[in-house]
Amino acid sequence: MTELGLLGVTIEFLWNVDFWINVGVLATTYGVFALGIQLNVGTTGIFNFGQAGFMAVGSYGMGILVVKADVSFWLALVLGVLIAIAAALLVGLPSLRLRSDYFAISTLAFSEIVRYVADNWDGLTGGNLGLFGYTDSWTAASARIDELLERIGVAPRFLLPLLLVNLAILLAAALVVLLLVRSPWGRVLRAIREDEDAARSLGKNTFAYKLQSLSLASSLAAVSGYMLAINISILSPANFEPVLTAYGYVIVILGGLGSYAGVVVGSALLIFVLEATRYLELPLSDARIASLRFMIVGAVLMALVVFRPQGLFGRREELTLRAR
Amino acid sequence: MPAETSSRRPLLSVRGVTKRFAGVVAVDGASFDVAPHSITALIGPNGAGKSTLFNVVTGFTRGDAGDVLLDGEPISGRSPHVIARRGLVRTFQLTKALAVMTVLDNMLLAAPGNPGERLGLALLRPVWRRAERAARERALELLDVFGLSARAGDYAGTLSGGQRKLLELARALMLEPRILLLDEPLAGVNRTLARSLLEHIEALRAQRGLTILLVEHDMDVVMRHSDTVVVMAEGRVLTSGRPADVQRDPRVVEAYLGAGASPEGAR
Repeated sequence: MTELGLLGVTIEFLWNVDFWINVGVLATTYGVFALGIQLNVGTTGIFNFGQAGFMAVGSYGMGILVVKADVSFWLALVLGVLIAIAAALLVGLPSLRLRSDYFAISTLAFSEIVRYVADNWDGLTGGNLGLFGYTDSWTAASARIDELLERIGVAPRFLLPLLLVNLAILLAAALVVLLLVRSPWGRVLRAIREDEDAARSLGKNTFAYKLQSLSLASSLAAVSGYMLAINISILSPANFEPVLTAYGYVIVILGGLGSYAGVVVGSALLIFVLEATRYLELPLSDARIASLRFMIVGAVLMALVVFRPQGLFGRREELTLRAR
Repeated sequence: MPAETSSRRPLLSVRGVTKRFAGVVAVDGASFDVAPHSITALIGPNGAGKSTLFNVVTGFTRGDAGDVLLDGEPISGRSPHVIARRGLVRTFQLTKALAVMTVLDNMLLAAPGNPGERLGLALLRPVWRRAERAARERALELLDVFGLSARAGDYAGTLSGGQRKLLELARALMLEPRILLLDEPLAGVNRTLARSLLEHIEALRAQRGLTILLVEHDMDVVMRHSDTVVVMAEGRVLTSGRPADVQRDPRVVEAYLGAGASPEGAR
């Protein structure tokens, strides 16, 4: 019995391995993306609203280098991160000295500028027709992973190699960021979050630390951009709308501000809810069901903020300490 | 002997500092010196420009004219963190305890020169473990002096107002400052705690040879605990000297009366 007709949900999909692989690939992509937002917002206290823009810069940088400049895919992965870091410095150098609200607006504006440029500079980016043809090296690598899997008795499955690579990257990235945050370097970031002037009065060059935090977040955005670019095989400006950054914030709030385990679990949860609600069966038009999915996500988030404002892994006393 | 000459030279020298805000002159060519190992009080009625001058000296506000010299070296125009590293460390009128960090983390943060604070070395624990351990020892010693040992593991945000003041003072000492600038250290503090804070400040000078410049409203405190008093009014330094002499100066009385209070009763 896999039909819960009353609820209008067919739960058959829960037994479908491809569903879970898809959730996994998306969740790991959003997870790496949101790690950067957590580092900026949860740990450093700077409100980066341009994460989707940094993601676009990194992934388009990689794609253009491969497709237009014939650079090796693997080298392009490294260069794309460097381009994303350069973008972070470009945005951060003038705006991180400003008050935090100006910084937030600057990053959002940057994100939209990147998207409009990608949309209109057809010659370089393919415009709204998209950029493709950068996946050959990955396809070869993916086939090799399939071979290895077969040797240990796992049947090849679409996107399974990507999921495994994504998972390894997410866990490694989360571990590195966690170790950084717990180091003396991370202690300075947390001090900036608590009170930047106090940190400055104690001899810390807070501007440099904020730039480093933003650059690291931008690098993570670039890596998540690669995950997306490989997953969908085409880069198009519509993939980088500001709502993507908003999803990152949802993950951070869901998981708990400042919690890195929360990012991993939060992204899995958000993507699961978003994907599972695709299977809603109601006597409504598809467009209405699509809207309903987001209302459900909104309701879940509201319930969370009311009943568990610290998120899944956050600490409640930290909220009350801030309010004092 | 260099030590001799440096003890005669003022440790901090403020020369003609001016700061305007949109045409309003907040500090108007203020000049004064702070002798090494002294406790110097900067007083004046509200709006005299004390806090602005403090911010210019510590680099938090850029002055429009004038020079600030620390042990003969110009520091005007430098960033606050550079000035702090040179040995001029400040506290704030409204305490800035880093609330969602432990008391110990507040202290460790202030320790200078920890290589683990560099992004490139942060993951290499063996490189910074020793510096971290040394800072920890010093932090625990200082917390002990200030009676905060038992709270080391608690969030700083759970401390009482008075304990936060003590923490801020202890934390500033982690930088091993040459001169400590205290912005109204006794504002909003009860008498018992005020006495304890003053004892700590005097002990810092006696035991560590620290120099202290404080902004203070409480004339009683200023008269009893400082060696030199600098009086500001309307952005200028009116006079400076020993407390007893300053108190008798008719210009000082007038400045305070003009602001609606006598020096004896002023708070």
